[in-house]
Amino acid sequence: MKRYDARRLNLLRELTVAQHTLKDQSTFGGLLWSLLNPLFMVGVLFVFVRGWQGGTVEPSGASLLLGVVAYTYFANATSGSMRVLFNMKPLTREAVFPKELLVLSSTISHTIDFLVATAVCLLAAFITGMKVSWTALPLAGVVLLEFLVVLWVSLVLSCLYLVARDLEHLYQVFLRALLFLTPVFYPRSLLGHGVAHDLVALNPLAQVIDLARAILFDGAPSLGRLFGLLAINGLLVAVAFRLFRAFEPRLAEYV
Amino acid sequence: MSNEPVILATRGLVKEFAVGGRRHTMYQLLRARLAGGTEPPTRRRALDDINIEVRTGETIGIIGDNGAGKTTLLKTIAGLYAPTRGRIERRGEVALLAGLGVGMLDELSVAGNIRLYGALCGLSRQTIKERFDDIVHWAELAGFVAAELRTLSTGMRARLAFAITMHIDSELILMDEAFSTGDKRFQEKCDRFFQDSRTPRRTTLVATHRLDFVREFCERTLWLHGGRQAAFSATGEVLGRYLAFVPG
Repeated sequence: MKRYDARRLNLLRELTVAQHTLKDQSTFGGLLWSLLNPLFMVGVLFVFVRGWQGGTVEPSGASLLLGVVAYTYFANATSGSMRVLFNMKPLTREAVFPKELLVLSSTISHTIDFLVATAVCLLAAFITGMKVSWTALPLAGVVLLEFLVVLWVSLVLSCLYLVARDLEHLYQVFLRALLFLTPVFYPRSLLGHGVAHDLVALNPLAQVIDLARAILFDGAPSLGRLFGLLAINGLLVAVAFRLFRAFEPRLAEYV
Repeated sequence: MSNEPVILATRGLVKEFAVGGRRHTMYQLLRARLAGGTEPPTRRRALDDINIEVRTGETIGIIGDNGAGKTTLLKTIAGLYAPTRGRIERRGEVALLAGLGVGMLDELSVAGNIRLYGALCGLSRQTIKERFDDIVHWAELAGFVAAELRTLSTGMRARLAFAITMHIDSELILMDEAFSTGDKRFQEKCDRFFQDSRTPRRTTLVATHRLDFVREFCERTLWLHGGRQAAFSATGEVLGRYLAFVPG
């Protein structure tokens, strides 16, 4: 069997369905929670940030929700995919198929929730007065960009996690820091143009949120920047796949 | 031995494992890096200088006591373990049945598991769709298609898994004690299928403790002892030597 043919794609589909079921997202209640989670987080941030910023909240409403959804997807998808080789150890240890399909299926399974949540963001933006036009189309490219970021991070983390299991705890700390290092609940302009601004510019999640907000709320998408980031992260995905495949013959010994 | 082309060969195959596992913590890795490396771990040799050649269409038995290296050999041939030394030459598509139902999920229905396990066994979506009813019928699970796997008995699960694996069409099939679960009737059913499904195109390596199965179905047999190749020859000859060696 070739590494990718119709049967492998069928396996990817079945693994994705299975992982979605295991996450309990295949039920109505599960899907509802994947929507309610970011909404509750927005509610909490809204209350605290309003107090902090003295009555006004910027970014507000749908823009804040967009940032929270993008962050939640990154955090959940990378954490879940990091553990997938271990959680599905009978498959990692005993079954013959390209193991990146496990990481890929976990990532896709989280992406389904992300797409639903993004649709809710669009609806919220529309309700709060955003004019729907063709200029919102590049948002599909931003969704693809975040998927690529999540994929290469997940491929690398899933291998590292087998070598050092306490990575999970360190990664949770990193994710908490990332929430503050990403302009989710504060505007990028708050950072000025110093070192902090440059550091946040290196954060791919900040780039994703910036681009999405520019497309949806400013109507001024920078397509050159979007394509550039897609190319860089596409390259990083290719490198991550190569690293993963180099490590693959040793996966069964580490699980 | 037939004149068919060689589908599998191992040349001086050695497989070693680090004793104590390979898991670490970030702290241990960092400390090792700062200290300029650690003592090389103690290694256990699971396979030692295995040299076999298998021809297309052959059924090869692999026998030996527990810990002899049977499972390690199959997993190394399947590509799940990287050889420490030596090499494996393999042609065609390989399927490993390391226990029936590995990969089935309790939370999925019987129908969902047929689709998932079928896909894991390399069956196409179309094949699974076409043979769905046959699988359910052979597994005797007609009334349980919507039931969650967790509600099935061990015997029912084994039947379901075997009913799916029957449709694998890989050229090289590696079986690790695949028939040892289930009751006598199930084993007889499996044996009957095994007899009926032998084709000149299919090559099978079966690691098992069932010497009656090896005697009936395998042309040649590999006897592993302590990771070493104690014998690899015609089944009658190898079984004779093995039975003479095993006390009792």
